[in-house]
Amino acid sequence: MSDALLQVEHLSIGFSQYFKGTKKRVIHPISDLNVEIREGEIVAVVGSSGSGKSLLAHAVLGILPGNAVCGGNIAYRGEPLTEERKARLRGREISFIPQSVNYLDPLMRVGKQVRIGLGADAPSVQQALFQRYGLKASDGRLFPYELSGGMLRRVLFATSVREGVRLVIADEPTPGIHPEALAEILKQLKQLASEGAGVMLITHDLMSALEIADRVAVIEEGRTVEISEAAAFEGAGRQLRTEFTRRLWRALPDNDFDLELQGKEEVRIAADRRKSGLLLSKGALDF
Amino acid sequence: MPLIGENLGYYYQKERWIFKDIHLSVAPGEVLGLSGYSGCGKTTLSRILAGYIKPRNGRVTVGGGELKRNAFRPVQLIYQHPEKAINPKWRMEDVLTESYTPSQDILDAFEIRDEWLKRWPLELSGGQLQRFCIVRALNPAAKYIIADEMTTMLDAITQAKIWNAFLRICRSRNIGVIVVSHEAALLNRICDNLYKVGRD
Repeated sequence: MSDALLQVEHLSIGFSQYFKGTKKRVIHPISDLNVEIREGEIVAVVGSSGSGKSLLAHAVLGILPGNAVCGGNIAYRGEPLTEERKARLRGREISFIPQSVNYLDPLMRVGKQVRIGLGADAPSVQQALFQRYGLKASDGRLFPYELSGGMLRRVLFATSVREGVRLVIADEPTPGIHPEALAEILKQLKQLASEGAGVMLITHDLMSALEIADRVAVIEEGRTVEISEAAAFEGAGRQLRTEFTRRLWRALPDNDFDLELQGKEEVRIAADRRKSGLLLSKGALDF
Repeated sequence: MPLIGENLGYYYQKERWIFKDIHLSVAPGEVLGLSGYSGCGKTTLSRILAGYIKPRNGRVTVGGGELKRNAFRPVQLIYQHPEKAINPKWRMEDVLTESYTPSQDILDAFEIRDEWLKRWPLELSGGQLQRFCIVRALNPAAKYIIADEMTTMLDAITQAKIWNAFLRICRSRNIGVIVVSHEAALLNRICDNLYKVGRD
């Protein structure tokens, strides 16, 4: 266990809420999460939306809202990860790529946001990062509202790439970007891992995650239900241990998609209604 | 009454065109996929087709008539980031019933739970918020719906369920759908036709 970079054991997170004015209650979106990430390893965390994947990231970083109550253990490099230690490490040894593009400052030019914390040679490093992620130098002068969703993702990614990072927590870094930029981001995560960093890749994009991940942790309703080697995700998913994971795997558009929902309703397959003309025909999509 | 975009062009900074000369047409009940690089103007094009911004060039018509302001918009838009499309100071029940009161069947089809209705937007996940945005767009008067990366924030099971329910309702009401996505596998699964925005 000495090589475990991050160990999360029996993590639970609750929120206290007020209702009917002054009465208090606690809801428990996360009841029992277990994840372990070793140095140089990429662990994908997948699960249904609302199952608590982002909360896991926020708990490790210590950025949960004030009304959150945490239980269980989180250890980083063999020592308990206390709130003070989280505050000291985040943004330095532990970097975070947030899920929502709302995490960017709407009133700061994106180039400047990427330069935060880069030190003396910030301008040249920022230029290099922009070039690597396919952003133009002139894009740095723009404000977040002037960029597309996919470009904002790449800016968010650039803000997280720093010297001395040992653990990367990427919360949905890839939605809404085109395949080339996606490949670059995956390559970058792989590169970080091969340099010895541990990567927690929280994602819905199971297909992309499987390209680089070593193991996959599956979360359902706030519990870890399965941790499998990435290689187990193949074919009809017979090597997967739980029914939920098998369904998740088979529901991909690349696999069966909504087959399990069909039969109940009459579902017309679109193929026979194809028209030609101005439009590309199906399959001509070459990106 | 097809939705037609003729000769559409747009720029944000003068004479730096994002796209030009786009011709698009969607028939009632048709599912059209839009793809292209990020930053090529797919979202801008969606906003033009929905009538939220005026094109610099060309025009958008539904059944021959131009889109009217200050009236119900027959072309509804579902945004890529639901957390930015919902008023953070409204409870979810107010968000949901702003334009019409959806039937229980529709809420069930998208698995919207009663307990979510009393919550604030911040207390729901991105995927949960997006279901409200979808139901909100399914106003009985809607003729066309543009789904801009509608399910990118969802897991595969939920994605499949939502598209299944969404397309079933659209088909039964003969609503035309424009699907904006980067995921080729998804577009190939659900679209009748595909259109690629921008230069290759």
